[in-house]
Amino acid sequence: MAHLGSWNNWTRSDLIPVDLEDDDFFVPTVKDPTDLKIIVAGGVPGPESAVMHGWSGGSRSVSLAYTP
Amino acid sequence: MSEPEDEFEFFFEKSWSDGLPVIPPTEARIERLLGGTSRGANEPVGEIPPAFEAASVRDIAVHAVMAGCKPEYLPVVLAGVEAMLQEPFNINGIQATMHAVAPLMIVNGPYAKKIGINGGLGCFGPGFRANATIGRAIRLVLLNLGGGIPQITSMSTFSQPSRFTFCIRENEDESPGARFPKRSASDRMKMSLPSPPSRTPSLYLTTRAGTRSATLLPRPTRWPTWEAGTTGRARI
Repeated sequence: MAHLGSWNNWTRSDLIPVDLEDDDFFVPTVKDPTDLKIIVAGGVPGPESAVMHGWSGGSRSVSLAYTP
Repeated sequence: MSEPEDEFEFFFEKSWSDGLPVIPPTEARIERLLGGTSRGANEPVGEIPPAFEAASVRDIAVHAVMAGCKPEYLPVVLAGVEAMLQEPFNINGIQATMHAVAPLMIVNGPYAKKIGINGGLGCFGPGFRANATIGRAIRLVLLNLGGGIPQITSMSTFSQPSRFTFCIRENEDESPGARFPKRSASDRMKMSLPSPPSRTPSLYLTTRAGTRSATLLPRPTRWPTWEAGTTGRARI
C-alpha cells in the first residue's frame, strides 16, 4: 500500500478512500454497491459472467432514451 | 482506377478512417440514411471534444454511412453521440487519456432487437452488422468530428480493439430481473466504460485534453461526400 501511495490517485478525496497504512487493505472496486450495474447479455449454452471495469473516477456511465 | 481516384484510398489519405476502408458517403447514401430519423438534417447534435467540432444530424449520418450503417440504425447512433456528451461521461478525458478506455454502448428495448443488435451468442464478436457498424460509427465520430486522433490527441498507451467498435444489446429475453437501467415506456440506451483499472490522474488528463484541442488541425466545416460515379472526386 505504501508503494501505491506514491500514486496521487490513491489519496485523492474524490476517489475511493484507501488506507495506505494497512498492507492488507482491499481496494474496493466501487464506491457504493449501487454503482454495480448488472446486465444480461450473451448466449445460453452455459453460465458465464464477465466483469467490465470503469475508468477509475474518470467517467460515469450514462443512459439516454432514444426515439426510433 | 488509379490510386488517387480510388475512393477508399482517398479516405485513407485524408485520415478520415479508423484504419479500415469506409463506405463512401455519397449524397444518395446520406439521404437514404437520413430517412431513418424524423429529425432535421441540420439539427445540431452537439460539439464533440476535444476538437469541439459542431456536429449536426447530417454530420452524424455521414459517419454512419462511412461505418456501414443501415438507415434504421441512425436513431441509435444519434442517441449514442448525445449520451456521450453528457458531462458525467467525460468524453473529453476519454478522448485524450493515456488509458485504453473505450465507450461501450448497451442498447435495450424492442427497437434494438428489431434492428438486429445482437445481445445473444457472440454479442461482442464479429458477424453482426448492427453491432459492428453502430459501434464503428461512434468511433468515426470521435475520430473525425471529435479529433480524438491516435498519437496526436489520443495518447492511449496501448489502446484496445474495442476502440474499433463496441456495441451490444441487453438480452432482455434471458434476464431474470428488470430491464436495465429501469423499465420505462421508451427504449433506453446505456453507455459505460469497461477497461482495466487505472492509476491515471483524470483531472490532469482532462486539462491536457483542453490544451491540446487548441493545436488541432482545422477540420472541414462540412463533411465531404463522394460521388465516384459522376466526378470521381470528393465534394467538400
